[in-house]
Amino acid sequence: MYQKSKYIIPLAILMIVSLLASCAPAETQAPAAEEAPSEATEAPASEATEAPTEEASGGVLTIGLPVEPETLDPGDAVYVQEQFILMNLFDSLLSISADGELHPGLASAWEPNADYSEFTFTLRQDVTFHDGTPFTAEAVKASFDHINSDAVLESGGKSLLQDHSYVETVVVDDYTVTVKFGASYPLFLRDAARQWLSISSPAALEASGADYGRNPVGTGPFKFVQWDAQSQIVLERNPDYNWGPEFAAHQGPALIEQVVFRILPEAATRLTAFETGEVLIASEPPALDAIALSESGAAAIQTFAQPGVPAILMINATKAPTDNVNIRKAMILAVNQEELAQTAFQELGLPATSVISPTTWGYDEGAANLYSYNPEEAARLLEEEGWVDADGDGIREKDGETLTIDWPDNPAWSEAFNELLIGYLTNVGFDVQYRSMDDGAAYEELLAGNYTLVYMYWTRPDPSPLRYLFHSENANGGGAWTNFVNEDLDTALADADTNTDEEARKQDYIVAQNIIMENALVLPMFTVNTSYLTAPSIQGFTFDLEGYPWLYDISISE
Amino acid sequence: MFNYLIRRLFTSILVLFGISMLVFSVIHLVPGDVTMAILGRQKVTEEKVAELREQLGLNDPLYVQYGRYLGNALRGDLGKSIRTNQSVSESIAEQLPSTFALAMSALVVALSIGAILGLLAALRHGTWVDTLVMGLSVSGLSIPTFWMGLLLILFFSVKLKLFPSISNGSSFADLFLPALTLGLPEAAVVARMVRASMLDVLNKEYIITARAKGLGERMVILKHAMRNALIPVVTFVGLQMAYLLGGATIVETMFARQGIGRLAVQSIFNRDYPMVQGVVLVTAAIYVLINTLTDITYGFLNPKIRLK
Repeated sequence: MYQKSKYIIPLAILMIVSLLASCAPAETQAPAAEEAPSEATEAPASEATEAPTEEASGGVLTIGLPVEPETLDPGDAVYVQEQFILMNLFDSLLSISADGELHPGLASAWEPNADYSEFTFTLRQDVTFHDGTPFTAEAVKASFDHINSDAVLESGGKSLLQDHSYVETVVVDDYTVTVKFGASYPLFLRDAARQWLSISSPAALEASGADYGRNPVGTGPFKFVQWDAQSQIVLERNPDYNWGPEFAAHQGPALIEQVVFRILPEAATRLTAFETGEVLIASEPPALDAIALSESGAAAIQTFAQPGVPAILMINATKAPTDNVNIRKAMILAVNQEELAQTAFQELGLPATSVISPTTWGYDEGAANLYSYNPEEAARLLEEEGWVDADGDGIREKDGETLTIDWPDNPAWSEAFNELLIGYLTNVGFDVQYRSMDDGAAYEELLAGNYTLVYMYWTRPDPSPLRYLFHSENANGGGAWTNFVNEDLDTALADADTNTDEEARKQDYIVAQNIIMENALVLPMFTVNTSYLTAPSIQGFTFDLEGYPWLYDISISE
Repeated sequence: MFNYLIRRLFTSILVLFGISMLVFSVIHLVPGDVTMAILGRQKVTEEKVAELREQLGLNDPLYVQYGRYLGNALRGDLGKSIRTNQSVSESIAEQLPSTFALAMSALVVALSIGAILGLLAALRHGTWVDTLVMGLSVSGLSIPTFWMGLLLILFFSVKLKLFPSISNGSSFADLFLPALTLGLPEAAVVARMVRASMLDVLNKEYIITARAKGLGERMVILKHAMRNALIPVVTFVGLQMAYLLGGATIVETMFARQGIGRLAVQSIFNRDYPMVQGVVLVTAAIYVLINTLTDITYGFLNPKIRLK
């Protein structure tokens, strides 16, 4: 119909070029590509080779985070990712080493009064904030008053202050300050060593107002540079830093020059970025891939079983059928924690058998060994209580009622294990109604009492969350979701919170753990492990006592 | 023409008005109380819920709330995020440039690859070239974006280390993989459209006339056939542009880029209602704006449409 024309050939060539533009040069450039990968990795590599000494070796440390922080105001922050970043920006009055010992921080000395309701700190005199403001007693007062103010949501640091009736912070002189509480608060010194009570620049607090969470200014080893929402948070070394904790591996400024936290919510993206060298540390990698990478030598896996309350299911002790202790016991006996942790998290998971995890101060072996996997015993207990499977559908019944467990939950938190867990319970004849919903809707179900199970974990170096989770003052909607009332438990938990004798407090917690486990108030599952993939060039990676990576001592080799 | 413009703008405003109502009421239709989402990080007491409801004006009648919402929105104030306390307008403004750069570059990929392939297939109608192009375009359409993206990342980032697997800038290297991932399925559509409409045009009598006049083939194709064949493509591009601006979520997530689609998804997960409202409203407004512009352009190109 129409003749072959000349332009076909140039067009075809153009097409082929455009299609192959990527492939053809790729073949030839492949060897060269190794020398010039992405910008992110090039910088640290080249700078590190120039100055391989331990002091200030430099380099850019890129870290892939799964969740974007909501705020970097220490008083407001509650999430793991927030704490991880905050500990680099801020210092606290005290510091705490991985073995749980208290050390000086911004305060060189401290003195509690007899009933541990007032604490006097002697402050260092050589510290300045990132904005140049000198660190004085006024800064401590401004920070604590800010955390206690309406500007901060009632979470993290604020709830600590308010739970212990914070009264005021008194400036004695420029470098002496007294913090006063309306009740005994023996744990204050430990809390004062954590990120959530760290000290902010009073000038910055004043200047930024409600935006302080996006413009944090502290005294830490790194300064805040910028935050591009959904993309990255950039910190740079504080060159004046000379007040690091005495237990750190080095003194003076941090070893790396810049830290870039990349927000990478997709696990696959995080892993790929790690494989290409675009991030040198990847937080929470998918377990199987992480193991494969570490076996190939391309990465090291760093894991840490967090102290505090491990992953548990709190059981509603006031709603049928779990208002019966034997039913609750049967639930615990039906679950194989070892297998659950192994299947859901491979080598990165550890089974938990008590209401606090083994790395927690005050952990009691006795309470942890009350139950071990025994589905036959679980079945026997259920039969003893009259629950039998008469119609052969695998679900037990009694008086026309089925043995139903109601679990309203956001699967985002439990997708790794919920099906497995439901499987164990179904095996012994429970009918688990898993109701998938978002956090807000699930919370409303809890407040309305429409639940049997509540998923919970709480990272703390000590068992103090037990008071919030199990004291009957918090029953019926206040956080003690088991709704269990027991005078001995209440007494032990209240005393553990205020007794100034450490041994007595430990004893209180042991009593509490035993009461909780004997009454089968929780179904323990596994410890919550933080895990990180680190590139072979990362030197000096360590965790602090709660499992946050300690970036101050990290250097990048090669 | 003037009447047509006025009519078209008027309907656009009506649509926007409807959208704003929809966006506003959705918050009140979803299960769960907005105050619960806000109080998610703190201890909840009844007084606190009541206080917050008062503060948010949730106790006012719906039409009062809507009036307030619309008034603020018209002044560019879309409220504050209940999660980060950031201004919604500012947050959206921060994410838009990245989305825009991605959508534009994806469009370039779609048009250049699509038009060339479509043209080739039409001119080589019935030959193996045609079959190959149509085969490619079916695959391009059927391969899910996330899979295509993964393959591209595996090949270009992991194997060849040529392009970053995560990127946020607007440089060529930063945009290459995301634009290809987003643009290739579009290119497949464009190729099919160009082919069909080119075949259609090539069989028109005025083409025969042009050839009969003794015009060179190049002139016939470029001046007479192409021009007319591209009219449906122009409309399509307009619509696709709007789609690319709002629908790039998967690609944004995959390459960890900033972007308004990701912001929308994140806000939905967070139950960040003001942010969800803002993103939907802005995306819808962009959609309406581009559609209006497309229609107006179309009206200029084709006088018949104006008269309807």
